[in-house]
Amino acid sequence: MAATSIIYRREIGAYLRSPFAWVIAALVLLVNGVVFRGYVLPGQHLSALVLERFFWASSGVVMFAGVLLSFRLISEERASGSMVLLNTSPVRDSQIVVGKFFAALTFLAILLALTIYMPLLIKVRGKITSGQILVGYVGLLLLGSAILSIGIFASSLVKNQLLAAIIATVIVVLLVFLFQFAKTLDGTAKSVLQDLDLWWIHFQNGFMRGVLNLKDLIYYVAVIYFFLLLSVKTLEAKRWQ
Amino acid sequence: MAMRTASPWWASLVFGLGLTFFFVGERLFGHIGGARIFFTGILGLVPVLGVTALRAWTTVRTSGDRRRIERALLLCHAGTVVALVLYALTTKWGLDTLGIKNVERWDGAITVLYAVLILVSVVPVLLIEVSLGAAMRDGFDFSDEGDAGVDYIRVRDVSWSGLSIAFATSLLFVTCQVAKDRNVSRDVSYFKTSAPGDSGSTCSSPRPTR
Amino acid sequence: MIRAKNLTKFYGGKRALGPISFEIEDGETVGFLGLNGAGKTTALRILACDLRPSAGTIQVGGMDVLAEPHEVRKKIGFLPELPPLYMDMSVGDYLGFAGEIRGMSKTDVKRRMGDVLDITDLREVQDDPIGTLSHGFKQRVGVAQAIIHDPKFLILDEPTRGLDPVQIVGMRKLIQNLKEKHTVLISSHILTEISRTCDRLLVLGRGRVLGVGTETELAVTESEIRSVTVTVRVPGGDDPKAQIRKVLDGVDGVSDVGDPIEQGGGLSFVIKTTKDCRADVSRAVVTAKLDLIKLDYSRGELESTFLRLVEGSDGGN
Repeated sequence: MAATSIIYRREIGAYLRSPFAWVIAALVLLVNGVVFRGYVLPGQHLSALVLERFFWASSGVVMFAGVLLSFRLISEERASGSMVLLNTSPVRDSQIVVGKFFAALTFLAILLALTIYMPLLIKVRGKITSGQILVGYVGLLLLGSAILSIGIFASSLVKNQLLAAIIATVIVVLLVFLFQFAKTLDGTAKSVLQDLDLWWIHFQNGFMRGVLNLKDLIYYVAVIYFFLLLSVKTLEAKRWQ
Repeated sequence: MAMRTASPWWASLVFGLGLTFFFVGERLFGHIGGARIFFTGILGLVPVLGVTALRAWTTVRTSGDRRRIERALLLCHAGTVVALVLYALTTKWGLDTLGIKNVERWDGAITVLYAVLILVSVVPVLLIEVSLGAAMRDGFDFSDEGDAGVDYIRVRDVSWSGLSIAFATSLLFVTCQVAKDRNVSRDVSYFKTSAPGDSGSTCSSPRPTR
Repeated sequence: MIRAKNLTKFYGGKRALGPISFEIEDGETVGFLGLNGAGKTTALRILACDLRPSAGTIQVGGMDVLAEPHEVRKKIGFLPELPPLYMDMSVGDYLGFAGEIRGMSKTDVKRRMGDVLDITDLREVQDDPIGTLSHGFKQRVGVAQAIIHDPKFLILDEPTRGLDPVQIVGMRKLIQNLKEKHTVLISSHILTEISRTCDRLLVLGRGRVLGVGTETELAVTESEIRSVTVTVRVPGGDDPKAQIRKVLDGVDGVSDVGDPIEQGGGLSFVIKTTKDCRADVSRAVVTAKLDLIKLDYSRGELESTFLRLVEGSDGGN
């Protein structure tokens, strides 16, 4: 636990010291704001639907930000040689992965918190519930966490950061479009693959619409656990190389 | 030149291809008798059972660390064979072949069991083969010239990792299925939780506003 | 004590190291010598628990590296070829992190920080980001992270790599200071550095141990002609060179006396010997009422031993 918090503090400090992280934050807020003004607001819609559109747009931005915030976490350490310090310290691989994950999650949560002004603008002139805003943000946070865990896994696989980003993006795209692929199948395979979908089933049909489903919550926690487990096992395997 | 393992690298590949053809035969050609027999039986079962028998032979013939690796692979292949037997219990041809009458009420449990068993058997093999690679594993070698190059400790670590990944995946999968079946839902959106206001009623009323 | 038995490492089908066995006593400073690809870095990484071996056993301080890696890591400080630095952190923050991650409390780190900064001469740059430091300072920071938790064993992989001559002297002094309190393992290509800093040598070639022992033992084992440089102040008289040559020729074990060159205020002779007769040479010079300025192994001594060992292993293969 102590080692996890030490690594967490170091990574948070790295995010706050890194121009790269601030550029991502600025980009995320800029894109979110532009999409909000250019796509979410225009037209005559019920304010609750406007809020749905906001979460719809934000989910894309969160997926993008999640990959960018996480693909460097381990691959950069390996490329720069600083991973040796962690490898030769009395620290478990799980502590390394969890510490980095929570640091990335904290930064992502701060980014999401900074977008709160947009739903509040909708609430000022429209009729929406605070519950729907909260549930939507919980969904964004869970979706973002899942993307971060995928990014950390991709980062643990390879030393080259560009390759890590590409692998993470490919995995995310596959999981997001699993639903569309599953529609072409039938029977058990269709049902199984649909339930594995990262966005259509669990975010769009749930959190985005202000519906809190236990199954969606458990799904995202399962995805996070699975990819973090894969990251830990990958780090363990790399100790042989 | 001494090989790093008793059996060659392509044995697991043949096994994997056999397993793939087995399921291709079942899923895509299940309704066409001849094609099913060809894919499921000849291209599928024959390599799967053949490689399993081969592993049993190499396990018995060799010794030391090479034997331990062959034994690990044999256990995984045997697990896959057991999974295929369980799968057969969910099919008509399987029940007829095994002479079993009525297992319908166990269908769900058997399906879950064979899926988990396949995962738990295939994932460790995959990881073992990836960690061993293909170098110096072209042929059979039952010699006892030391176990250098076998890297048994690494193979052991990797197979335990594979098992834990497979079990974790199965557990997560089952948990998600149970959560889906017994879902608890709470709708906090505006349409569900708020009393209709002016704008709400305007939008929801079928009659034009005057 | 570090005890390695049948230590082996394979990368795929390629044998990188072993099987090798060796023992290192507490307080020793041992040099790992070898050409590129000899297995030095692989051996040191395994000892530092950065890499797992394919076979064999290693015990560090009585603990098995595979069974108790966390306990072993607490006792080891490792400086790899590329120092494991975070360029965005300041020196002080980085050393604090390195100490805490090794299990030190914040109080212990604070207490130890001053000593480490003084030993490694980093006090003036402790608030500077590591990325802004010169290569020499970065190497020092690398050494500092290896000693912050006061480990029993220090493993330094090519500590003088990329340093200029002044920085090399500084690093050598630092290692000499560290020798007093730690068991040190160093790998280097620079034979003079190894020769000056290490008590014992372990020569590796193609993943095997070619020789273990002190420089003297290695040379005697190989039955080489030894080479000593003696510098004597120019005496008075008609033929000072012949005078000195006669004295040196008379020492038991001297097989050849080379031509003198003027150096360091005297005349330097390179003499070939069949055994370690430095004491006899110094006694003979002093008895002959000559002023002995300097007496040491020739710089080519270790080099020839090393080359002979390595080329012998290549010829054997």
